[in-house]
Amino acid sequence: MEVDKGKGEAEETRKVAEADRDTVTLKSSDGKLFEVSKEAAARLSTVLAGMIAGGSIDDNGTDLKQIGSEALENVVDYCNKHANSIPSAALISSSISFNTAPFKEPEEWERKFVDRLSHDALFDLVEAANFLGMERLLDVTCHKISEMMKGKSPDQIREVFNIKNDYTKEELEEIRQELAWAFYDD
Amino acid sequence: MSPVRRTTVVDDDTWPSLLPDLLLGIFRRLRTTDITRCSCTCKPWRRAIIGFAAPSHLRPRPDRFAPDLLLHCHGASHYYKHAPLRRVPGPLQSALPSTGNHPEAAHCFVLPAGDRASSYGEVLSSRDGFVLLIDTMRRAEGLCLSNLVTGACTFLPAADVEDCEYSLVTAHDLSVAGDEDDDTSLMILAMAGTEDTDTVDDSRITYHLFSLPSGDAAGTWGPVQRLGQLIKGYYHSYIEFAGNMVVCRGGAVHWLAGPPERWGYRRRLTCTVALDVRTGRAWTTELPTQGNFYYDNDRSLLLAGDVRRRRAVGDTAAAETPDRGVGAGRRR
Repeated sequence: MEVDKGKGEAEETRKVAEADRDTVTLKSSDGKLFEVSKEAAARLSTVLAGMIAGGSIDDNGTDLKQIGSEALENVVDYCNKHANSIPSAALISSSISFNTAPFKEPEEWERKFVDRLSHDALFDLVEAANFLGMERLLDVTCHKISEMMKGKSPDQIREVFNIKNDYTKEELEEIRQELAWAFYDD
Repeated sequence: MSPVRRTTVVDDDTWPSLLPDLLLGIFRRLRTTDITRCSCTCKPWRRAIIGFAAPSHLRPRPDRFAPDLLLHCHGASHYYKHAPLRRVPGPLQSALPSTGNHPEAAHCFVLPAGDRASSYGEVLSSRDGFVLLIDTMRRAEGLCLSNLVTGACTFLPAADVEDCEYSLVTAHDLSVAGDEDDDTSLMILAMAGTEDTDTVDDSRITYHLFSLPSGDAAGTWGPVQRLGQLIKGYYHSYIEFAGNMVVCRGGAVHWLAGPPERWGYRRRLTCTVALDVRTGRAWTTELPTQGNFYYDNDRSLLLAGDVRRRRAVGDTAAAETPDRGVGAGRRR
């Protein structure tokens, strides 16, 4: 998405600030700066696309107070990797909303991209993707998280996600009686 | 969307605190068994799952009824189709969404163990996690529509048609395949064969349609409708529907039907009757005469395209007519 300008003016802007034109500088909550391709950012994130179109991009670093540097680094990394990969037709369709879209399988490089993340980094990334309106990255991260849940007992899921069991003994006994089949250890 | 605040400290409430939207995005990729297991891990997840357990959000089974989604105990004894339901509310009731206008209704068919005299004990129809129940002894008193996932019960007047069969039709049945939305509206179709006593209007089928719009609006029964001339020149004067085993597809409800019982003969199934609840259009498809379909067979109705159901049923004697793509199968 480009700013709607006269052609001549756009040409001029390009000459004046060639470097700025192709990238956007983003600033994490802890003040670190990251450069990302403007084209990729606008294509992958509805929020960034809106900011670019609306001219609210700051050359000294657009503040993203909600996102920590680690998560933002991953977001930028994803955008850059995405810019270098050949986008398949499925990735470009952005008109379908996240919760009703059919599932798109992550591509091999996307799978590797999320596989190397720690659980905490994954958590931060899924929230950052949500905040920035990055449907494709949400797809990829949610897919990864759901893969981590598949075929596990409640105890195993708690262990994987470091979830504290907040049910009382009585409540758990109640659930256990109702859903005995859901527990593997019975 | 609430702001994201994050620490890098490994925290035991990190994952439970994930935004419900995101949890939903994750859970909808799982099968119901895994979803149920996730609901057992911690209360925030359970709340998110129950909150989002609206049928449109979870991928339904081919018959769109997902009994393994039940988060409560629903015991049913399978004596014919009379199934006294026993619902045991647990201490987690507080995690459930409000049951709306009938807060007391959630427990309405809780029975002491062993008590068979259930009110609203007969299951008429089940779709998308809803069951339609009736009190066998007092059929005229009304129906109970129960959302098995939330436990919410709605009481509805009975249809104004004698000896009718009921079928639930959900928004899912009415929508185009794959087009899932949040529409939670429901329709109830009551249908009966009518004895042809009045030769003038030649009515063969009577039906009554109940619409329950989404939201809190009250539903209403429409006018009683009669359809004539459906089965032209047939030797029987009226038809009976073979129970409430139906297939809903694209807004149409398909029933197996046949002539009424004659002394000394097995009741045969001769046709399927379909009624499009959106348009009121009805049609019949005759079953092939070389196949003998009987009422007391273990039978199934399936439509072309319902391949998964067909495989699940495992029928061997499926017969299909290409024009409507309707067939009837039977199992021994």
